[in-house]
Amino acid sequence: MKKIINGQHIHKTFAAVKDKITVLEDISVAIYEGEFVSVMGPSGSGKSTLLYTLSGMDTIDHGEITFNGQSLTACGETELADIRRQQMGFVFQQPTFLKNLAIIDNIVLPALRDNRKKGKELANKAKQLLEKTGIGDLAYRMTNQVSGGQLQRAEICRALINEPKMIFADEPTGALNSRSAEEIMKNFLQINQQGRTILLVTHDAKVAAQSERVLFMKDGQIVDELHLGKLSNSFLENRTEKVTSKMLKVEM
Amino acid sequence: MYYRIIRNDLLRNKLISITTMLFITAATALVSLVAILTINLIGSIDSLTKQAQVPDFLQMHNGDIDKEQIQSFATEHENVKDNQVLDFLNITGAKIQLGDNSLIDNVQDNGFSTQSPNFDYLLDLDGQPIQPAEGELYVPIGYMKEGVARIGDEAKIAGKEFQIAGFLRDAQMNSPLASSKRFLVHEKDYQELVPEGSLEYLIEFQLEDPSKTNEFETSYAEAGLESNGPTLTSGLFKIINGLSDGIMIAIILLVGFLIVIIAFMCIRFTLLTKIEEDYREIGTMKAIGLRLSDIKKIYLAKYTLLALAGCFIGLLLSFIFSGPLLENIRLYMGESDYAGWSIFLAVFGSGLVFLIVIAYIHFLLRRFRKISSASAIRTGSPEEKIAHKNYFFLSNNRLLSANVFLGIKDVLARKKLYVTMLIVLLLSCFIMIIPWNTYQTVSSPTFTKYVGFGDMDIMVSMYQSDESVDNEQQVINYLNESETIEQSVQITSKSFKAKKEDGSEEKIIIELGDHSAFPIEYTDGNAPEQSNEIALSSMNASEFEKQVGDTIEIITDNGSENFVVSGIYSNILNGGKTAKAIFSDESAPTMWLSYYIQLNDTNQIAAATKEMSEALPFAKVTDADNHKQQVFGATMDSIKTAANVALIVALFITGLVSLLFMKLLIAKDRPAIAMLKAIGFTNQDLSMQYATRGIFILIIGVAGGSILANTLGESIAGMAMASFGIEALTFVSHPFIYLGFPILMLLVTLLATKLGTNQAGNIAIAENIKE
Repeated sequence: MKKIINGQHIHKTFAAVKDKITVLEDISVAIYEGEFVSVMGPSGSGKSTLLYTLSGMDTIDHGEITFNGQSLTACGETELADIRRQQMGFVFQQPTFLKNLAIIDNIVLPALRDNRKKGKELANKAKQLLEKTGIGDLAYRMTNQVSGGQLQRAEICRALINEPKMIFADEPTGALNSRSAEEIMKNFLQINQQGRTILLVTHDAKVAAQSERVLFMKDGQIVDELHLGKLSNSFLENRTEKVTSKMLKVEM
Repeated sequence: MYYRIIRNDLLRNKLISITTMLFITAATALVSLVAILTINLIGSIDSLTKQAQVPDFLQMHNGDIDKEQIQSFATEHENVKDNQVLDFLNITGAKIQLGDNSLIDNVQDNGFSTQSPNFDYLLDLDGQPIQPAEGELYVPIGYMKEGVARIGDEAKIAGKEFQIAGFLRDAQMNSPLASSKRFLVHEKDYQELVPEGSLEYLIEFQLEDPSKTNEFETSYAEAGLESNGPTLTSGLFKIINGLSDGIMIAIILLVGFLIVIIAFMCIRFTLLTKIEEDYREIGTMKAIGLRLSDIKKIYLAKYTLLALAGCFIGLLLSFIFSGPLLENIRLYMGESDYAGWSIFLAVFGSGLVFLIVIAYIHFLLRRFRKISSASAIRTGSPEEKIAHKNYFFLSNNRLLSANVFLGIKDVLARKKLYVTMLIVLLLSCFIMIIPWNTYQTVSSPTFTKYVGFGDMDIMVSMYQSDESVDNEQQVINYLNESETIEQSVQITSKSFKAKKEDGSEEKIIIELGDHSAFPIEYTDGNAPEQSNEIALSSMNASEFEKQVGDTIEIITDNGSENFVVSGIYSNILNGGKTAKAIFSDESAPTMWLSYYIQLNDTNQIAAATKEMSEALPFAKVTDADNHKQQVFGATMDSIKTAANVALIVALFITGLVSLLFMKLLIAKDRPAIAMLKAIGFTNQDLSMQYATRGIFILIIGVAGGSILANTLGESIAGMAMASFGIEALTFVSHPFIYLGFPILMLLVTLLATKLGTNQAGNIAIAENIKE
């Protein structure tokens, strides 16, 4: 399989009052096309930072990251923005939208940037995505008129509008109740089944258990890895147990 | 602890702190300046009038005079405190040589006199009456200002040599707006000059009760005394003396008022932004049991410090700047008696600004009460009101690029936020346009229409004398023969008696002739078209208590006749009391004759003026533009200075406020910016979005400011002008004002937006999106 992301010897520090704090320490990681990978780890282990650096949203001190064969570390701000817009999709823990735009406008926003004349076409596409995620009737609502779970799904639709190669999700179910979380995960599985690569950061073993591969982080390093294979529903409980026991080991 | 909190806060928010202080400084400086200038102007005028002992009533007279009759009138009249008749020896400019400068092109009636015996003194620069020695010449102060004369220069008057010994202040004729100027010489020199000029008389009265000047004027007219010339009163002297500087003060007052408003807008905006930023901390402080008054104290202390520093610096600046601005007032009118008062009022004004600022901050901090600690700690920011209805959909838009759309949409969605910048830009635009439009209006050729003269090229005028009939024929022949003249019209100013409401009679000077050839601007109504119509100057209209459509009774050769008032116009020259009519009259005494002339080629005005004055040596030939330049030059200069200052101030405000606003906006929008960057918007996209916001607000602000300037501004300028006797002012503008100024503002706004939004590129996505 082809590597979509290849990170080599990634090192990242944050400036503190006196010293620097190392957040990522010599991490080498590869994500393959079509894979669904989760990253788990205790708070402060660097899992979100890993996601931000791998997607080019955050810089690194040393190392090399390539996305789809292109070096992100060699790219300028504008090129990175173009890559993020055209080839990546993002889902955050707190859905971030422009509050004065309707949901449909927020979804088409990244696509309209390059296709000014295709508003109608894109709006139709957004509606289809909204239908697929089960919130087709909310297209013209404002963002403060829907629930957190619905907003999270809208964010998934926005991530998909440019038909990206890969989706990055930072704790997408972290702020949701268990029912909403389950529905969101269904959406992610569907997306993955369509061939899109997903890298997802989570605290929740049940969420991680639905991915193919789980990376465990501690103190800025990937300390373990669990290959679960494609999910078949009947084994979810079993997989969750495996993830939980591995996580416990990592935390010890 | 407070000290540390405030120090850290000021250091962290340098730009905001400095800007806030700067606006308070500017507001205080301007308020204090207005106080200093106004009090000193009034004080200087008062002390000049007092030192010079200005007459309450002055009748200029040309022709024979019966001094005994005047003396007996004065003795009999109970209101007369003192009286005198002064000689004023008119000598044409061509015969006056001051150093290397000849007054040949000078439009003033230059006259020579000796020091008055009783009152109306000509003063030196220390305010003392001058007693010139033989061979000494004292020159009106205006010529010093214009650089025409210097102390020690040789002067030649009609061939006689003098030495310029100094300059004089003349409470009556100081101002360039007064049409005559008095030179002072020794009695013996004066007698030698008498054959070289034409004698005019200044019949002067000081009154026991100056408030009854109008009644006195009436009884003087009724007594049938000498009256071949303009009548002037002390009130008019004060107006003429104060006009140029008064306009400057009025403009500073207007700018000052607007700056105070802008300062308040800035304080409001920065304080509210700060509260929003500190929202969670305020919630926490409330939660751990700090009293509201304790929390308020921190904010109040900071602004008290800024306001105190701002007011103090502003006050100092006003003292520094008042020096050069008072220069003109001091030069023309001397030191003010009220200098102490002006300092007191300046300090009082600054104190008032300080108190108002503090009170306003108290008022703004009331919203602390509304902050719920639970929600503040949880959300960290006040709930923003978001529209529930959406009318403009990005996906339906085909016209604008996504960035431009987002920029405009944001302004429309958060109107309350942008209203501060909008108002500031609107006021800046207003501040720019008003003084420049006023300047353009005053300096436009049509402005003379407001002061009772049509738009002519040359005016030829002559006083009544024994040779009048011959002279008149000579002028008519010359005008008929000359090929350079497009059209000309003869206007005869004659003195009539008119009946007032109470039955008393009063002198009225009526200009007879065709008034349609060189039309003037009427405050109300129109020019007289029928022979039974008359137009009155606004001073006469109020004197006779007449409005358009009323009738006025005037004694003509047909006896007492009723005239309908067809129009009212402004006139501040010739004492301001004139009238215009078209009837013909043979019996009333002619006072002077004027010919209004328009040339074929306006480039030939100077040459034609010279030729005419040579061909018609008995007449006074005036180049209208030159005349206006000399009469209104100082006023125009004052306005132009004020306009330039206003332009710079407004551009500075535009830049500073845009910069501040954009910086605060970026800080506020961090999460949204991080999100946009995350989903692939570039820094250029963000710059474009913020520039769109700036330009969009600028367009509305400039449009609003222009409309406001042309409506409200015109009325304000009109009101200011009306207090000086110029009414119904309509702005004459210049394309640069409406095209160039917005472009200047646009450049400044764009630059400020660029500088203000530079940091948007540095906003780290990861840090800001996690919140």
